[in-house]
Amino acid sequence: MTSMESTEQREIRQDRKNIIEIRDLKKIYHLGKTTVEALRGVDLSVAEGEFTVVLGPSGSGKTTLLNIIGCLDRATSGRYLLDGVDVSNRDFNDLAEVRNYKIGFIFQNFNLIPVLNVIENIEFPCLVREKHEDRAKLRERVRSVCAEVGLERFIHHKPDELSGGQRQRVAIARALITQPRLVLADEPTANLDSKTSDQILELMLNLNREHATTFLFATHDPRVMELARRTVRIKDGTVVPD
Amino acid sequence: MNILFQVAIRNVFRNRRRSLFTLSAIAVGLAVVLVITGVSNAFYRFSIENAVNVKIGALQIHKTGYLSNVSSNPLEFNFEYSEALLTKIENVTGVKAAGGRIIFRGLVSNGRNQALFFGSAVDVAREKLVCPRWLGSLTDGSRPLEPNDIGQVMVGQELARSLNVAPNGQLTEASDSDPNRVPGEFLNLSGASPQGRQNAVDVQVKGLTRSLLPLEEKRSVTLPLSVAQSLLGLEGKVTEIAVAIDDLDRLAVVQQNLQKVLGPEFEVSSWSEVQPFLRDVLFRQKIMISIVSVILFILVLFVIANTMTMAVFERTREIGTMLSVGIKRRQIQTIFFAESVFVGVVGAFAGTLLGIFIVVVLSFVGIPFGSEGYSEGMLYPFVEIVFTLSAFTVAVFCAALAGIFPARRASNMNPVDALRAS
Ligand SMILES: Nc1ncnc2c1ncn2[C@@H]1O[C@H](COP(=O)(O)OP(=O)(O)OP(=O)(O)O)[C@@H](O)[C@H]1O
Ligand SMILES: [Mg+2]
Repeated sequence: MTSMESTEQREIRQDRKNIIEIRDLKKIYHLGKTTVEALRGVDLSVAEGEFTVVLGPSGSGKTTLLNIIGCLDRATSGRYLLDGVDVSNRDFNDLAEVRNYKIGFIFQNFNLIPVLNVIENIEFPCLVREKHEDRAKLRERVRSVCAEVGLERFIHHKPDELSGGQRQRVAIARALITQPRLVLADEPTANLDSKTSDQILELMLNLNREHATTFLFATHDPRVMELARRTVRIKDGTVVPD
Repeated sequence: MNILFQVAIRNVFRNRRRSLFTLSAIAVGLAVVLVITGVSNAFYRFSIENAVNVKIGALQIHKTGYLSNVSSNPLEFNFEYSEALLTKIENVTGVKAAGGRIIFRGLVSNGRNQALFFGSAVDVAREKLVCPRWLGSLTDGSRPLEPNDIGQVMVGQELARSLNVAPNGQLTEASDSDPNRVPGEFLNLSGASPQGRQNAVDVQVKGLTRSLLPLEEKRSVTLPLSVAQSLLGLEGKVTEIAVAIDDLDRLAVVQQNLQKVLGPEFEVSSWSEVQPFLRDVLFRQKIMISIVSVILFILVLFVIANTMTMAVFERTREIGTMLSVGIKRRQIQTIFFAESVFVGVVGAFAGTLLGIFIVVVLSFVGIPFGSEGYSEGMLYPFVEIVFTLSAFTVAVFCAALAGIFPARRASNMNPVDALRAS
């Protein structure tokens, strides 16, 4: 495990619990007769409250790694503990619960539900729970999250009435509304211009600072590295030592 | 409202064009089913009423054994045609009228040519009450038999044409092909008594009858009962009594009561037992309509399944998104299933209204039916409420059924693949 981190950060890591614990993780895709080794034995630990950037060129396996961490996909082999729990043998609905309660996703192409407006998109993860909180109370929380990400004026807009930056703010708010243990952002700024990218990144760093939400941020943009406190470099499916 | 139903309904409205298409497929399919059923019902009613009012009568009374021997020697099963018997019959509740008949076969000749005929000898005064439209329709220049007529007959128009006879020896459209052949107006009927004794009688043609059945036009001769009785040596006898009843829906009850009153010496049959051919034709027609309806519903089912599958493919990324925020597979199924049920209910509703509207309009206008010149040949379609409700239910059920497979498909998607979809 190599990374650039300050002494202060290292200290934090030592007395905080690990949210992610990965050892020798492998993922092999079978394409007809050929196989693609997307991950060739990744080791990674992420502590509570960390903001970690996973940096790597296109095709290096960032998305593959984040999908496995986010319980959207399963590793071919290796060990993965999420919040201290091995989730590798859970069935689909269990994993759905894990995703719903513990993980927030932010995607490159925003992935909002087109027929729902901003508020509804944000509250959606809470509303699909078997027992969801009172809708009025939920609305309160949604409004405060909206304020936090700067969307107060757009709460009744549909996704196609928003700019890219605004859509990504909706996605961030949606990821945060469940107060997850971990937010996974897969190239969230790739579809945005550099100014908007900086704002979105700034927003996530602030959220990390203020709520101690753990972020894992995948990108191939080296500029992001400067802003992050910890960077994990990945190349050809393995973590590269510095 | 539940967020899943909100998503479902909004997607129906988002894809307005496709939803409208699916909806109209259901609506049109259901409307067609209602209309063809309405027309078929009208045809059914028309045929029964035609049979009952023109020729057969609702019920028929024969001497026991008549129906099973009708092709060998029906005349043997003759019985006394008495006022007492008629009174007994007419006293049964639900009976409107009764009249005696002799149904027989014989040869008819114009002096040169001879032909086979099927004779219906009727008690004219009573027959008018039993079968209100007893002669069917007549050609121009024909007059119907009257109770006091003796020695006069009605002849099927094809038979008249082949024997070159016409009422009063008038030229008719049927015989004017050859002006040299002036039609006659007298015929000679011959027949045999139950014992086989041959006899003949001269009769005058009073009118020509038309029928929807070509064979009847070619063979039928209707004559006063008394003429047949003396021709066949059956004075005071008949071979059947036709009975009209007040309410066709109570046919079975009246039939039972009559049978009870008359005892085992007689057999009481309904029109459908006397004319199994007609019953079978109608039955077959009902089956046909049912098959067509089923095919229509299956087509509708495929249309819905197809559009829903398209919707699932189009929204693959959206499904991936929902999976990523932790929606359960069942909930995805609910969304897509709700969409097809919603479209199904609205479509079925529209189809029911459309179908009923068309049936009601047709029931006022009427559909001309049969060959030209049959004013009574009009169909007035109708559908029963129970049938309409069941058709509605089946349509909704089809939509639901059609939604199952696409909904499954949506819910079985792999989240990663779904998210990668463009
Ligand atoms: N479903 C799949 N089937 C086959 N191969 C796959 C699949 N998904 C990813 N791969 C392969 O795995 C490797 C890693 O892909 P991945 O998407 O994780 O890279 P990435 O770092 O996210 O790239 P990018 O920066 O372009 O998003 C690539 O070689 C890719 O072709
Ligand atoms: Mg990627």
